Amino acid sequence: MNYKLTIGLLGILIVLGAYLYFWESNSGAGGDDKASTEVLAFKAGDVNSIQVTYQGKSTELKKEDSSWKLTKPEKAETEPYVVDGLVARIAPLNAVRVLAGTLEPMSTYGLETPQLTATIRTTGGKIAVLQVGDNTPDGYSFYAKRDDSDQVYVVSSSVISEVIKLVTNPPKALPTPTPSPPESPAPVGTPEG
Amino acid sequence: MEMKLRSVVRRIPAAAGVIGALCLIAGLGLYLITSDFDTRAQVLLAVGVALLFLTASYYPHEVAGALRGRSARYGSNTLAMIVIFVAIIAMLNFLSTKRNYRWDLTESGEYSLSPQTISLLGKLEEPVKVTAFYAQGVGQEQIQDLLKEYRRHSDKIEYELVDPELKPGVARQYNIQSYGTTVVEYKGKRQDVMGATEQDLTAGLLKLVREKAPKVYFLTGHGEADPEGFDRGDLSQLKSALQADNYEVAKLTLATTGSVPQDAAAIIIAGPKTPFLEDEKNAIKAYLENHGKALILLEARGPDSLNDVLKSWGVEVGDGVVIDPASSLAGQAQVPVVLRYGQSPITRDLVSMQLMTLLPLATSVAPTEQTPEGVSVTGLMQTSDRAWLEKDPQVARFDEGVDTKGPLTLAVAVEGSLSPTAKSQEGSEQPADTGDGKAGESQSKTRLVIIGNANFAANDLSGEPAIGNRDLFLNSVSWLVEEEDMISIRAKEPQVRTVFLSNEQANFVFFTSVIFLPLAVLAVGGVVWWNRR
Repeated sequence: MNYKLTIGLLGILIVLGAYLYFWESNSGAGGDDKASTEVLAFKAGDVNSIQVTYQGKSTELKKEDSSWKLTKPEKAETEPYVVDGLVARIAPLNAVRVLAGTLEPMSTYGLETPQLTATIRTTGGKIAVLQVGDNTPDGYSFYAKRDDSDQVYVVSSSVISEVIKLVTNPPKALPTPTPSPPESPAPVGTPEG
Repeated sequence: MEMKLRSVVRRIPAAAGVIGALCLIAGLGLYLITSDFDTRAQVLLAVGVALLFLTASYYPHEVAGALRGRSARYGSNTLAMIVIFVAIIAMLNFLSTKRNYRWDLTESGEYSLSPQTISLLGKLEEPVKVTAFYAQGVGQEQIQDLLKEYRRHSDKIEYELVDPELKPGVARQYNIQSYGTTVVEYKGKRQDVMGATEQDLTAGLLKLVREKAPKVYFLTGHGEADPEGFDRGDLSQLKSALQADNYEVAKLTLATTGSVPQDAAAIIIAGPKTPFLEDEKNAIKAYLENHGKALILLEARGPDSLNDVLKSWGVEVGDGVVIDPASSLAGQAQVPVVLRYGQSPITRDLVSMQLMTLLPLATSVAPTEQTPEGVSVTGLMQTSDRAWLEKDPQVARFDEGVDTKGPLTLAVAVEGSLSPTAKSQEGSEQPADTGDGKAGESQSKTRLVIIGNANFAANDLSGEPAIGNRDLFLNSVSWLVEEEDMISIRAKEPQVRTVFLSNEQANFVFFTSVIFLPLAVLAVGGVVWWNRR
């Protein structure tokens, strides 16, 4: 029974494993971090306030009694399910890609002066501020980050477009149409003379 | 009855052990298949472990003995060796993805740069800057491998891979809006290339290296193959190939224009089925006499309206179909397979790479007995000695005195000048500028390539990488416009490989594999049996 061969093979395995672990894992090109792609980790049901600022304008929505109400720029009821649908897409918000490696300055991604800022508050008192910068070169995504981190994410433009719409077209509830009064019968004309 | 019950009860622990092992295997298998350690897998594993534990506790001495026994030690050692060896192989495999070297063992050199690309790289006068914009994981490795190969063949190639999402500033500087764009810059000019194949990159480089795209005209109006058609018999594949080589391609109806345009670098007559009008013939004649360049593909038994023009240039067109029983596609003697080539830049690489060409329903094209003064005619392709030119359209049988015996020439290249005074004529058409600075240099000679077949260039054959049909066509055009440097075997697109066998090869394969080998095995078996009796 040849234990020496087994021990020899084990030695080779250990050396190879050490080489791969210490040498190859450190020499990989940057570009994608193995960090989580979760930008915002809230549950949709926990979010009770959203404030979005875009191009100098601001919109604020607050949840009262399980329904969303517009509080800025004006007080109004909101369309049912519209805000719920948006909140479900941004809480949790997952990135298409996490950038890592040698990043360019934040201004290159448009994140030094973000074009959009979204502040999300939860019932548990947690706050997250999402900053959105420029489009990616292909136009299908945006660069985004949280204000408490330098991690840059690539986020789908379909989600960000809906957030922008909260400002450009606040989801006010459409007025309920009032029923028109019934028509009265036309008077009979009296002959003159 | 009691005995039977005891016997059954005694077997329960062993059965439990077997069931436990099966549950363990099932649980593990479920986890491997679903990649999810769900409740079912957990239950199966738990039940399996529990049953095995119960069995082991029922037979403690047997289990201890087995584990300490010789076979257990040997088995454990062997198992450990196998596991360690497999782990080493897995790690080496992982390491090979990061550090590797490739050897292209394919017959057609599918994974190496083509001679055309290598030739082009050798012509570079200044550095070429290549910037490839590829997002992480999307074709990056492919383009990087390709650029490494280009760099290996020319130190004038400088390349950089840019992740446009990671470096949007650089992407905006180059105005990149689509990922997978490669920007090639040479002598102050820029060409954007989409696609990560050699054909894409070389085509882009060609556009920069050539100062002006030579224009070739396909004649129309006589039932010629359509360069824009996608049917099997059309020429769209070759048209695309010409454009990829940075030729401008256009159609020409001589009956309406009256003459060949000034900007024509060459004309292509691809299998006319009806005769040319007298005016058209005169226009072609005048063009050729004025140092024109033409590629003429003739159908067997096609119209003979150009025959006298070709005869004046020392070329005789046959009247019949070439039959070659010794060198033809399996079972089809009217489809000659050509491996005999003449000495010419057009066929040089076909010879060196031993590429065959297929010419279905060809006719012969041969030098006349007396070559006109000032003209040289070179045979390009020849049949086998057993071929003949069949004059009878009904029966393919050699008739002495009627049919012409081989070997037959199937294609010729003509170069020269018929009339020495044509060059000095005032007001004569200026030679077309091929865009490579050679206008006026060697433009004093007419060049013709005449091939006794038009089908070889059709879409169904020109797309086959295993044969040289496409290269024959493209090399002919390159030679005509005097770009011998570009004559090479083009990069092959990865395709399904089709096997073309000549009659002899097909017979050899059949008899050896179906008849001789099985007979040989039977014979050996018979001999062994006889000896053992």
